[in-house]
Amino acid sequence: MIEASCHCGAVTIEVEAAPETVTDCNCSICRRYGVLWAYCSPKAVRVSPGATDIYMWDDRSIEFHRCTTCGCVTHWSPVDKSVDRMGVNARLMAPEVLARATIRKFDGASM
Amino acid sequence: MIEASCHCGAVRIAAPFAPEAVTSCNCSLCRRSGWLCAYYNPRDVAVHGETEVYVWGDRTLAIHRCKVCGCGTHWSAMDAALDRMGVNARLMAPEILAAARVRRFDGAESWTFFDED
Repeated sequence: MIEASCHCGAVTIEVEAAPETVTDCNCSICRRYGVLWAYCSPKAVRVSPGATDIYMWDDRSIEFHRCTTCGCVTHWSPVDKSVDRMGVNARLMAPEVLARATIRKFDGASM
Repeated sequence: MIEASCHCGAVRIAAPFAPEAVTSCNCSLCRRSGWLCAYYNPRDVAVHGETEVYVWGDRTLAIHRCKVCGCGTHWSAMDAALDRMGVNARLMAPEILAAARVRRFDGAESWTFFDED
């Protein structure tokens, strides 16, 4: 079990396994958030009930969550809960966990 | 003049020049927020739009983010007499950021730049 937590500790996320790869995307939102996404099934993730604020844009298919207190971007989740994919911001995992992951650069800007 | 804007456009920052270098810090907050910081004198920077603020530790810095989209926009000194602030260069145009040198700062331990070793 791997834990990710925001800076103030209000939001914690448990994922089943350390990510082998994380995604560094250059789309308009990811390049600004500076996130490194670890993708997983929502079934394999437990997000603490700590409060998050949500941002949605464009086709509003994805909720971007951030801690209400410290503002750290914690995860995204699909609005359609039948979608079996979500992203956890691996920057919130322990540095040694992130350091072992391969960073894959994704050209989300040209999609 | 260089403009930085959050994703939704509610917060816009005008800075006087493109950064030659930006700082990637590994402290407990910066490693999570993923900022690349460009430093300016607050007198030379205009910030427009509503932000939320996070303050922690010795409470010397206010970390600002857009109230709508949550993008980290800038930090400012709580002591308004200090002539330094940081703008998140990830909010600048990609070509501006690409032209800047990234300096890694060891905010977690030694408080020195790794390229000063």
